[in-house]
Amino acid sequence: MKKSLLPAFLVSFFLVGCSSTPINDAPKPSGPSSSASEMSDDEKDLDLASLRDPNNILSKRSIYFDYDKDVVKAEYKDLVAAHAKYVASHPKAKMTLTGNTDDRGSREYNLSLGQKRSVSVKKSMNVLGAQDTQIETVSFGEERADTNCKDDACYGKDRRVDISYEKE
Amino acid sequence: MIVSFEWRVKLPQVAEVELWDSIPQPNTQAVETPAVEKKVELEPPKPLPKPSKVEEIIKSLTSDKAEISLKQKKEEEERKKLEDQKKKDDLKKIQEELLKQDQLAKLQQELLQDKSKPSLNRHEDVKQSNANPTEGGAKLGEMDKYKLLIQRKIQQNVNKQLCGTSPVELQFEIGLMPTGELIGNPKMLKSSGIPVCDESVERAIFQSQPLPVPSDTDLFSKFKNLKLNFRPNEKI
Amino acid sequence: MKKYNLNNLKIFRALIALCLFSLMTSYAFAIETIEIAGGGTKQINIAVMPYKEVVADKANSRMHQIITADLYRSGFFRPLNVDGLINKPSALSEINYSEMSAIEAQVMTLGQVEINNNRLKVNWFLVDVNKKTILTTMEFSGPVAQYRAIAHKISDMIYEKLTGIPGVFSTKISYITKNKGRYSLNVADADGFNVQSVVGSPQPIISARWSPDTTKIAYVSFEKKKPIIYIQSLVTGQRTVLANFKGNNSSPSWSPDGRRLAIVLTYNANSQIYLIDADGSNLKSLIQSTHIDTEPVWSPDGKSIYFTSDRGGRPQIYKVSSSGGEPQRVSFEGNQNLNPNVSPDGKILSYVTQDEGRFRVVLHDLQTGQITKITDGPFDEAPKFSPNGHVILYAQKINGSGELSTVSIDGVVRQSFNILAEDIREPAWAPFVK
Repeated sequence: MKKSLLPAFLVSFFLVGCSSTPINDAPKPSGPSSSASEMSDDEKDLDLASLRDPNNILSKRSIYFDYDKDVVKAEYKDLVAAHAKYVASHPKAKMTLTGNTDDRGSREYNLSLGQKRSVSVKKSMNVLGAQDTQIETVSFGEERADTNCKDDACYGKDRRVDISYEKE
Repeated sequence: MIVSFEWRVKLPQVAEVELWDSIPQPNTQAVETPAVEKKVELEPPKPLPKPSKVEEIIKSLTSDKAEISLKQKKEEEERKKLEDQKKKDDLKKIQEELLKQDQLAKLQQELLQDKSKPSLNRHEDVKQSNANPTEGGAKLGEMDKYKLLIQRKIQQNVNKQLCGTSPVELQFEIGLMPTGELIGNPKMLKSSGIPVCDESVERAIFQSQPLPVPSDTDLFSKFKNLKLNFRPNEKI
Repeated sequence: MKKYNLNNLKIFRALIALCLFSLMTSYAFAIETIEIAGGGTKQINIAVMPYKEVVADKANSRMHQIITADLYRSGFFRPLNVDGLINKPSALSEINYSEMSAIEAQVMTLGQVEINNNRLKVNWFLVDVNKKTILTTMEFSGPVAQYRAIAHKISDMIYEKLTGIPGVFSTKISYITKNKGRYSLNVADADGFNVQSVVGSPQPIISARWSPDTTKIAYVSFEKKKPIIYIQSLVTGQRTVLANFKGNNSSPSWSPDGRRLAIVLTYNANSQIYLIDADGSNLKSLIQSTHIDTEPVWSPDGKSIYFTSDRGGRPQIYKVSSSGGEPQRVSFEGNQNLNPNVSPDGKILSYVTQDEGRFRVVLHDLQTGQITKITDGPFDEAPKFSPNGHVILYAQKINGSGELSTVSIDGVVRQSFNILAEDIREPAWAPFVK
């Protein structure tokens, strides 16, 4: 096989353009996050202990959905509320909601479908006081799906939103 | 990381990956002998009507009766000659008919079993023969029979993939030897307007050699030159 | 005296009339006409002779194999089996035409390859077997490294001469592989040879698209744990971030002039379609809705953009002017329709339809409205037209892992690529190099 002339790894050899062009009819884009590390302050400001405590509901990070639905089911209301309250009470916290789907259909459409679910979770959190400035909704679509699924018990595990934090 | 790559090439003897239409049964009904005899009657010696018409013309052109009667005599002689020849031929024909039936059956068999044409689309053939008023075989004129055979053989070889999707028409004239082979190249009288389509149809004509032609010399004379009209995109 | 002469003249005229009349009528009666409608075959029979390899070191006859594979894959040709022939001509004088006719060849190609000092010279002919004429001939020379490229160029010329359509055998494709948890965006020849990795990553890469001038490739990478669009030069290897806005950045589609891309952004809402300049500036919203609008593709004339939307409930294909406006629905058959792609002449769409639970590739004739299903599923995706519009490249999921296949648009020939990787997805076909 021909050796590639181009870099094989991503960490080197790329120019990152700062793509924060102001847009009039959409919310402002977020710039790259500051890399200043203030660990002790973070521990305090972000109450990382709670986030990491396995006995704390905040350590639960996945919300599952029914087929073709983006409605947050009742059984997850407490989980959503807990995370929403955390974000609302910790102004420095930055949360990412990542939507996922099963692998049926096209990749881009599933990316959008996963996004619909993460947006749905975000909206539930907005109601409970979590601000958009602290939440980013993204999607991995079908990229993390189990590709060997044959039944809905398996597909069901792929239909979820994962909650993660910038610092946890 | 990917280490190697192999292109899997299947070179088929028969193109097994093609989509086939189902191969319908051909019309294997044999031609009946009585029908053949009828046909002999139905074949008028075509030049014959002419003399009477010509007679009228001559009458109108000239008043010299001597000339006319001479002409008439000559034409009557011609007519008799033809009729005598016809009678001789009749016997010959009946004798040959049995032979022809054998040949015809053979030819039909060959067309059926033709392995070098895997993409045979006989569906269109059957539809065509069904549309033909001579369905059933009983009323097939000898001429029509050969025309149908020629039509089928060439049609099988026409590749209309190169002729676009709109209706197009082509016309070729060909010369044939008694063996069914072409004399020279087909002559294009009408182009489809698409060069690759013209070439494709011409190739189909070549590909169809030897064309099925009657061995009877009289009948063959009608097949020595043929005009072929093509409408490759027509749905049959 | 006069009277006699007049009579003679009249008789003479009568005789001429008689002659002409009988000639005309005998001529008219003698030429039978046969009507031939339709056509029973779909391919041209070609005999591809092994090109004689005259090499300084070792004979390694491959050119005819590359040509045979190319022509077969196109769906227009039936390469005949020449292995059993004793006479395999490599020069015009060696051709035995009756032997060629006997194997039902309609055309044939033959030639010679000389290799000297790492340079290669190929002399070849395309011959009409029936008329015994040369249809095309050419001499190619170049470095030995161009061996396959020259074979593909010969295939292109044979194909174009006989079909009137430009060949795609010298074009490039891209695809993404997943192997042991690593993803790679690869570029290769249209027949899958000469693979080169363009990007490697532990996170997924999707939606790679060639720029119209074929020098760049846009793609979506999840290396930062969210989808971001990059544009990478295939010439220099340098890349830039086209879009990294809040939320998803995905589904890049180049405008026909290569100056802009249609992309999909989400911010904190549903997927929406935007236009952006290729340098990442001048972001503009194309259409706004509360639904999912995604998978934009430009029409070749740059005037319209086709896309997928669920504004009607389930995903369907829509069309909107590239300057914005009211979208019109395009797909009406089937439960859902996704992943649109436009033919190079702008007349046909290909997309994926869900048909009784199976995801199949269809062709949608925009002029007649006719829909033709050209693959069977159950999990077919990412259909892409070849640059000449006559072949569809797509991915199939079989037992959880992906494979690439091509199918000619008339459905006649289907082929799989035999790539050694666990999972192959997201093919794309580069346009013709201008």
